[in-house]
Amino acid sequence: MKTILEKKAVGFYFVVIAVILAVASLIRFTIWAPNHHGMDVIIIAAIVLGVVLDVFLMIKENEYILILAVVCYSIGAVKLLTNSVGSFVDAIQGINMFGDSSQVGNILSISIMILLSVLASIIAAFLKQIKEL
Amino acid sequence: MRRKRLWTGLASVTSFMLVLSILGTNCMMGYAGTVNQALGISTSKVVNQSEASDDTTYYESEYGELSAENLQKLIADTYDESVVEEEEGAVLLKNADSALPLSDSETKVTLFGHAVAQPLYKNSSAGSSGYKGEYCIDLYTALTNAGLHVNDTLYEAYASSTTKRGNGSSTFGQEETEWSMGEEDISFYTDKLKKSWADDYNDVAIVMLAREGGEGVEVQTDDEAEGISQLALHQEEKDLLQMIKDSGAFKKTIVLVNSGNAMELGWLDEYNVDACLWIGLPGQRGFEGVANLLVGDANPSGHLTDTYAINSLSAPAVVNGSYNNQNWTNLDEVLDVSEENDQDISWYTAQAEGIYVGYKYYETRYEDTVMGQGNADSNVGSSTGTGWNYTDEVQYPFGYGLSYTNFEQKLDSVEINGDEITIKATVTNTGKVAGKSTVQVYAQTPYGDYEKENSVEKSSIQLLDFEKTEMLEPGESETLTITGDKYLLASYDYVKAMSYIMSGGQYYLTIAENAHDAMNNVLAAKGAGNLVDVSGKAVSGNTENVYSWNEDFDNTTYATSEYTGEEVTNQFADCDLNYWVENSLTYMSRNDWEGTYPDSATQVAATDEMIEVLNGDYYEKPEDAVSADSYTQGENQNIPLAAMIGLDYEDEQWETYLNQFTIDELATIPADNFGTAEISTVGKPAILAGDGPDGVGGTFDEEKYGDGRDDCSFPCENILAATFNKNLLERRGELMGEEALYLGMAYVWMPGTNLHRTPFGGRNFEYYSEDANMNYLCEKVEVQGVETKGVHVGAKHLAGNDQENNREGISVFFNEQAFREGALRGCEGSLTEGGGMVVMHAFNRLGMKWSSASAALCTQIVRNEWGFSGFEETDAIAGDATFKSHFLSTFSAGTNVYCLDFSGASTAALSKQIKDYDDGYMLGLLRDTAHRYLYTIANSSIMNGYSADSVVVSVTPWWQPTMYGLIALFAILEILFLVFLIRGKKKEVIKVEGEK
Repeated sequence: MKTILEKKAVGFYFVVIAVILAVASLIRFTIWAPNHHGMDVIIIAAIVLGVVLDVFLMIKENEYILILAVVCYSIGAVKLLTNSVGSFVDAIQGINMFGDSSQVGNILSISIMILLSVLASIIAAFLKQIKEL
Repeated sequence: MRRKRLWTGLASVTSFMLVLSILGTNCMMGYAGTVNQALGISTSKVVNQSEASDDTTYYESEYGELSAENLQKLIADTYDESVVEEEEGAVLLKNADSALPLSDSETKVTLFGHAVAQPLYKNSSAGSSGYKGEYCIDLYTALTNAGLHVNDTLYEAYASSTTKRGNGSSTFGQEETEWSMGEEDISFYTDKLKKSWADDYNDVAIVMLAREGGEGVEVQTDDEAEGISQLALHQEEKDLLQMIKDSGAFKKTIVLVNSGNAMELGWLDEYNVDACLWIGLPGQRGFEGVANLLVGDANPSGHLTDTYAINSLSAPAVVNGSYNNQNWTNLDEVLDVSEENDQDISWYTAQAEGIYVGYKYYETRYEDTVMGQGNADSNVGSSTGTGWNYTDEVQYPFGYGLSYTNFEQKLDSVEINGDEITIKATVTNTGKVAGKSTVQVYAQTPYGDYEKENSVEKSSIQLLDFEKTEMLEPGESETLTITGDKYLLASYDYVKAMSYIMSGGQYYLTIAENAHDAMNNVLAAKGAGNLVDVSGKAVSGNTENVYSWNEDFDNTTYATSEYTGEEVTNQFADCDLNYWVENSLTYMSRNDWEGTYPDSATQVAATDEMIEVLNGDYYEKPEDAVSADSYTQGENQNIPLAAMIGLDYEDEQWETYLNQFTIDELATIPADNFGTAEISTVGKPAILAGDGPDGVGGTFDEEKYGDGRDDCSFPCENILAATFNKNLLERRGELMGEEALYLGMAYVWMPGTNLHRTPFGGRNFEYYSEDANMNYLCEKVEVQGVETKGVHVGAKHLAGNDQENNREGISVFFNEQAFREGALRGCEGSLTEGGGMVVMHAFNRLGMKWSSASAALCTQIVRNEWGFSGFEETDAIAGDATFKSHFLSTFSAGTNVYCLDFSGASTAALSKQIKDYDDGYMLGLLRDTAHRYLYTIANSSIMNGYSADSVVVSVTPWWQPTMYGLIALFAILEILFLVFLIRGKKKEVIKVEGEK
């Protein structure tokens, strides 16, 4: 293991961070969504696919897979935000009508976690994942 | 290698931007109407083919052409109106030793209570945001402008305190998200602060207390602060008042009640409060009116439109209402077998109180206590736990309000001619300063054997009408002529006559300054003794102001609609819980208070039949439905909507006009998004709607009119009602109509017409009153005011949406007398006498059916009985509530349009039904909806500028090409970076192979 890690560059660790954040946000989303009418299989599928791709990247470096992972996480994050427009409208107007304004905090925190995955993946894309010997 | 990473990184960035722009655009397109409204974009414009020979200004602004200069005049008038409404609507509740107005020497004041630094201008709800901006005047500024000197040390301490009041509605982007009373702990008042008023600024202590509810936010019956009614005095407030009292520093203590809900005020004497003024929610300019009242530049003439109970929980409606809604006792079973969202089918409220809401309860029980009827003095419903006693229950009665002067009111004459009751009354100012007086006309109708046998309940006193004098100088008199409508005294007998009746027997009519005085007048005329005023003092009543006459029993006059001739008979039998489960609900009766007062909330299990109705699918294509092809479709004869202006609703030309529409075009009309999109092929322009009882909600076009401020945030609707001034009500309507003209709105969602069923209603501030007749009388003139501008009025919410708690989908059970004389009448005046052309349904269910799915309401009452020819719209269907998505059920019940149908779900559902099932019946309904909607629009100010040769041209909003441009840009960049990446990789491979 030590030998393997010795070969890894900074980019690899950003991929790992992206995976950890994505898995954590996936867990949070799957716990939160069914109780607040927020379930969306596209979001789950996108994050799961992003994680799978990132796990693949941890084994083998591939630029296209990295970009695809960014796309997957981006879909997850933006879809969650656009699905929740009603809650944001309620929260801004201080009413309870279109969504659930009390969930704005949860929606934002989950979205931010996924967006951090996006960010980590983008940073990883600019960096080497394997040290050049 | 570095370049490869650069291209990979950049491609990743553009991937994110591409996803963001694609999904963002998709979302914005779904909310296109809202985006356009926020950006002030109209998606259509008028192009006149030739010089219009005719004048195309169908509805003129009273200020002349729509211009920057005239807009300034309008704005000034709206601000002036706000001040006058507050001056005439704020209610002086206590004024010991003429503490108010302040004298010229009483100018140094200290403002107490956190609300002085966080005034409540308006509860959270739709409407104008004008109270948030630079054009808003707060209490401090208003008092300073009025010449008072305010203790800045304490004011600044409040302003910089971290304490904040919040209604718990998780308001994002504003300061507060937590529920909080928002009052300072007593430790906040340090010695340094105390010194600021010990040494100076101690002429007057002005204490402002706020109570906040809001849309979707019921005022709490058992609150998070102390587990008591939110309307009661709380510990921090008690400590504050005690501190002021103990300081002995102030010559006077004045309390301002900054609340849209009736607060409990039984503590005023305990804390030596000299004067108390209910100021409601004053909107953006109302505090100027408050200041004018305090310094005597204006004289209070407002009167309460609610009963102020000593204990708000004593209202029988609270037993089942507000936070005492119940879940079905077999909730698990209900949830298991229904596909609706759990929250939307879980709750019900049984209105066991019947007609006895507000003063109708307290005053009726008072009469029965005095007369020894119906065990009225039993313990049930008593706040003290001993025998029920009026003065233990009521602090200020409906209609109550003091003045800085005194008036004498004399009933001159009463004439009854058919439906009209003409009352003449002379009012004389017997005091020392000028002021206005309100003459309130009340009546008592018989409660005899017929009524008792047939469960026809009677309020012992009932508001018939009112008028207000002009400003009367001391010694000056004015004779008012008031024409009451006898219909408002009819009772609905749902048991025997199954229609409206005029009870047979002795009727009493009286004028008074509040409901309790009226009650005492009538009791005196009936020879009763032991009368007391609201303070418990013995009074004798004024029999000279009572007129009495006899009526024969009449079950025919009001058994047919005066508008259509339709038979008026029972329609809501299935809204009575007893219809479903025998003897499950006992309605309160004055015949036996002890035996019928609801001592606890009604518990019931939903039967299979009830659950089936709860599921909401009622539509089946009629067997004799014609083919969709039997209607002419898409036969364009180049008739624009402008050609239909002024035609009768029944004019045959409408059929020809509608024949031009395709099914797809027709099906766009029911999907409202605060307006509807243009249909250029038939000359229908894009339509914009406003929303808000106290401000239509819009921003003036700065480019066009040189001023980009919000429309006026007027004082709350119950302050307007409390003016008891029909001229002000009408003027408010006219000014809101004028604002809508500048904002290009064809119709506006106002006024709020629900009842203050309990003091805890979160939106009581935007409904007039606890009394349906009061609503009827107020909305009639306010709606007329708006409609004169060619702006159509959509009263909301029809009907029974009298609480915010569980408002979506709650099953509301009632008997038909209570519903017709209460919730329905509360909205009726808007559509009938007021002439409102639009109406919004409610979120709640009537019995088991959503109000928008009730054919009894939408078709039988609104159209067949009230003769309504405008269009009916649901309350907002956006969001996740599946009970609002049974489009075929609601459309066939009489609903025309779906509010905030962002995604066009109604369009898709109706179109699919017509096309896939060749449902000509549904197409007929769709054409009827188009007819109603377009008739309303054709006869609105939105058609100003259109003539028969005008062409409606679609205008693509600038943000749409911008968003598509961004998508294209990011897509091109993505491709570019990927190409660079691929080329870089290829070069790398070639290089490696070359090295090998």
